[in-house]
Amino acid sequence: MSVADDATGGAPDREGREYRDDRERREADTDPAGIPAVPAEPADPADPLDPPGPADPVDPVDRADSPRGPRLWPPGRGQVLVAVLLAVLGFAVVVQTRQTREDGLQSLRQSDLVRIFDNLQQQSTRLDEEAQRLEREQLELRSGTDRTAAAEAAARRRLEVLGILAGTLPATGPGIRLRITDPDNRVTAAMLIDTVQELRDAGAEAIQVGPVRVVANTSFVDGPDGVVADGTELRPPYEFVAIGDPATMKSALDIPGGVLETLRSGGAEGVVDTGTSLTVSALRQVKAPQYARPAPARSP
Amino acid sequence: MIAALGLLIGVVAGLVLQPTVPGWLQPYLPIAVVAALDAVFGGLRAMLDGIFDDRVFTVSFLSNVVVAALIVFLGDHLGVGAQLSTGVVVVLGIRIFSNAAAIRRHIFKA
Repeated sequence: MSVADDATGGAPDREGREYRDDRERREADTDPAGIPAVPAEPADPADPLDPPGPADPVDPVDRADSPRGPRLWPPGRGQVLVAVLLAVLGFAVVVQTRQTREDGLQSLRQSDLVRIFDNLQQQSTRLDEEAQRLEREQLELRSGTDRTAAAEAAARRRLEVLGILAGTLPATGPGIRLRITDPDNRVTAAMLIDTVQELRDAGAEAIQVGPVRVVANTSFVDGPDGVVADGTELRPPYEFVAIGDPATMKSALDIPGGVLETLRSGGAEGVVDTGTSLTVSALRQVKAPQYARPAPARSP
Repeated sequence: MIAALGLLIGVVAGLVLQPTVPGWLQPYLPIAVVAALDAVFGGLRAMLDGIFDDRVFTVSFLSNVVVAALIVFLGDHLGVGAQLSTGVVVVLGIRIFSNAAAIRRHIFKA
């Protein structure tokens, strides 16, 4: 760094000493009080081009005020040069400051750019990995959602099936309508049970008699004026609606010795109509079991 | 006096004109500025010491800038530009500090 040392301006080293010597030489021309004589001025080696101007008469006063400082006015060519240099410096400082604040990569060196590029690549790789991880996660979650949805749909189907079986849901579909007229009131509960059994045997999936939904534990009891089903008194004519295969049920009721013949022999009359879209709308309230609990499921 | 005025004019000009540094100058301008600052502090110290001289200042200013830029240029071409720039800045910073210390002793006598 000796180069930079040599380039110093007014530094304390060699140049400074040279000038101190110079100064001493100059001060040798002055009187002991440090006030230089006016004739010494043109011989100033620092400003050889400084023309003696009208300001010269005040010069001794200046020197007396600051005996060691340089003469400041009027500015010599050297001082103007200094001012210009400082102006350039100020300009450069401002420009460089602005530049540094403004641009990011433009003023960087190749090695810095390589480093930044490297960092960016590493970051990109990291982000890629993270994206892949998140995609996998998303896939898993989605398939999990699918499984959940499938299970939910299955549960819903099962609920519907069980609801129809238990009579808690209305049912619709093809089936038959059986109307039993009984002018002499000679139809007994046993006959209605036989009818229900026959319908069940023929594949009826939902049965309703009058306003009563017929389920597994529906009871028929002979009443004073008709038949009491599940506590509801039914009066003739008895109206059955059964959802199932209409042809099978109709033929099952029609067979010789079957339900219709029995009814006819008892003085009643049963009429069967088939329909493609009948509705079993009567519902049945299901009480939650008080004692029974689901047994732990055995693995299949 | 006129020097301070020149500095002020330069700053104002930079603020007003808002030029962009040309690409070939970009690596060298910061170092040149630091080198020039070193020269300015040296000149300030010399002024307080009473040994300031315009010619010396001018020469040292220009040579500082040129040498600093030259070092960076050389470093860039040798592949050690960043390290050399750091070294130059460190050295110039040390010199600026020592000059500032001298100036401080002159002004505050401490």
